[in-house]
Amino acid sequence: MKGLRKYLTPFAPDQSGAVSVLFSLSGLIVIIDAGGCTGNICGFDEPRWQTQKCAVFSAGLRDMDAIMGRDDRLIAKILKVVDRFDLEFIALIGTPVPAVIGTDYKGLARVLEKKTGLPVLPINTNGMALYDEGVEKAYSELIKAIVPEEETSQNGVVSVIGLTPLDYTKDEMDMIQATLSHTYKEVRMLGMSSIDDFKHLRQSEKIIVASPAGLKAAKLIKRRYHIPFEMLKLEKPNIAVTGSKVLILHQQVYANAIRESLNMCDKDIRVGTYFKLNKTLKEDHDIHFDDEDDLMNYIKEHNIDTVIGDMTYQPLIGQAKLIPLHHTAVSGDD
Amino acid sequence: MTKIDYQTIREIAEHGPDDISEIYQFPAHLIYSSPATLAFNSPGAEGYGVKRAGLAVPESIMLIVAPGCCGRNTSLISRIKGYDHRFFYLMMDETDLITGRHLTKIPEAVKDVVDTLGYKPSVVMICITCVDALLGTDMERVCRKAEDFAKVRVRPCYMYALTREGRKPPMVHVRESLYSLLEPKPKVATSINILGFFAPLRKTELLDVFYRSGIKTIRQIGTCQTYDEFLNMAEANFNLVINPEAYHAAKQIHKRLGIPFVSLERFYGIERIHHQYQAISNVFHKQLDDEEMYQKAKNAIQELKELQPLSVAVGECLNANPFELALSLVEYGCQVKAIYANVDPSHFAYINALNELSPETKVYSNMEPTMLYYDGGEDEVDLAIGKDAIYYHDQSAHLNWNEDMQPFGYQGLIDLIEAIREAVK
Repeated sequence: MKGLRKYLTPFAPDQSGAVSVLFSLSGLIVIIDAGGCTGNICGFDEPRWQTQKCAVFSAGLRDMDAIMGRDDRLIAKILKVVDRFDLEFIALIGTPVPAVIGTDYKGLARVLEKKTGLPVLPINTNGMALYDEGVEKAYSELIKAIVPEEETSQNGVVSVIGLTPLDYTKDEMDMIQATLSHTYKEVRMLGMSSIDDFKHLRQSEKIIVASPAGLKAAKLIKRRYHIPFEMLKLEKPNIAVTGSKVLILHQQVYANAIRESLNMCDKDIRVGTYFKLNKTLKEDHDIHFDDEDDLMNYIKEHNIDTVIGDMTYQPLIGQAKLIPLHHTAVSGDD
Repeated sequence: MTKIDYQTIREIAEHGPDDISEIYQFPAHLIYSSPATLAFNSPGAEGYGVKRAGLAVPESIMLIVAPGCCGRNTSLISRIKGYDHRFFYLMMDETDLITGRHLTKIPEAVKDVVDTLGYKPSVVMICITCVDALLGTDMERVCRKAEDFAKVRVRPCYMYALTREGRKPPMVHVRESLYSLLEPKPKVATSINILGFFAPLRKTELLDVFYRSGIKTIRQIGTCQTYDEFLNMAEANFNLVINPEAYHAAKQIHKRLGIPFVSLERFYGIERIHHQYQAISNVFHKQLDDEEMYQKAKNAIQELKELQPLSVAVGECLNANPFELALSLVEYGCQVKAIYANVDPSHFAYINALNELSPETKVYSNMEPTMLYYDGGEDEVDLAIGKDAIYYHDQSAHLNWNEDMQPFGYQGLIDLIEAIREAVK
């Protein structure tokens, strides 16, 4: 049945994706919810929240706020705190409640911009889409609001986009940074350190895309600022594959990079994903899944004997062998 | 440096229950999210939230019908012993929001899940969330339809964060929903229930006191191993309510099954515990003998006094009313430097008493925005009690005191003091 999950818990939602991009950037992040969404985003999907302070808040909506559409109260609550923090921007993160009542994020953003003088990012996530949608929306709003019109590129500066803790562990990020440092003088991991990386994005001579969620932003950057991009390549992972028909389950860029690094001509290696599957990045047999049944049937029908993917996929893959590959967006922080 | 907003006990007492500062009122400000507020923002992430509570009935399962984001952290609960493969999800999309289509899918989804299990669950709880609160979904009706279609008991539970401070918050509603499964049974005079929490009580004299007075069976939902055992709760002669969140359920049981109830409170103040037992004695016209435990608790208090001077911070993520606990600790000689809790009018009996003994104790709200800058530095203490207090005082001795199994009575006080002694060793 469409939408029915009997084995997998829901994947990281779009609101978590948006926050994962903004978390380290010194903004006021206001999640427009009653509290539960904030708890899920911070307590489950954002590993940095345990150790790093961030101005992330729940709007604390209550039933009458939603029923009466009391946006003025939300604005008043935000205005109360902006002077007390040193902020680079305000981000409004959507959740199912504002989606139901049709909150006008852009209208809210305009009012707040006028009253505070800060850039305001209206991110119309709804808790029903997946994290990569939220990542994409957050990048798009950040680039529109933060990247200056005037600045020239510098040789040896590269920026990595689409890299969030929902896809990459801290160790993997460090490894990517170290690898790129062999080629580039300065490697900037967008969204992982400071807002300055966005303010000086135009200094980059190249953009490296680490996930399909970063692709749209990379294209926008290319169109606006003529900075070229390329997809991330990973070091050969320590994975021993014995089967002959292999399915890699992850986000597409990561899975592609694993496939490329395995470099096994004698095997049929396919990429499958529940997340964005970009046509320009896919090979013939790569596939997108929506529901649990899709994956179960695919494994059976195509005689897949090896799956490289998150441990939580185990109940869906029948007799195929599972080679564990953690994915935080699927099973949470490792 | 941003100034942290807080008041002292003296300031709070002076303003009184009708003039509580905005610092402690959620609707007045944005709610800060830190690990100290996780239990507030996401009750299911720790202890018992609606999802875990909804599965308190033995042999039950839950279908969460909601946007994906609402079920995201459920895998944490699934990792707890006894919850594996008991949660299922019917994820809503935007079309469902607009058309309410998801409601028509529920009966079939229930049947599909039950068929997959290979056994018939005692009940399927349907957990719905804020969006259905706004859509005005009649989930009782949907559950009846699902019952007819799947031939299994189906009950709703409402994870409506939007109504958290309303007349019937989610944790009140879920108790009503669970106990609505009880069906009339002949009464047994020697049988009683304890209503309040989902996990059983820790060892406590409360049970012994009643056993000694002739009660033969004391049931709690957390000790019921089977559904039939749970149904036997309907034979009770009366219910003891030890958590205000169970009050509505007790009222409903009284109305539906004719089982009366008596409310008790959890205290850590020895004289308050003693007075409560005396009050129970008066209600039942039978002297409940608490002398031995009273003396044991007094001895424990003496041991705590020997640890003085001991400075303490008390949080609200613990098995206690933070103000009553703070008052008790002050009465036993501790210096309570800080309390991390929100203030509501029901706390004023303790706040006024604290004002006599420790007026300069600071009261912070974990959720208040300026807590972003608070690190506990200006309130250094020897001991932090409660998960939130520990977050601010990670260099101090720690005592979580928030386990699932609930302390109560003199034994709860004795256990607390023992745990404090262990923590500061």
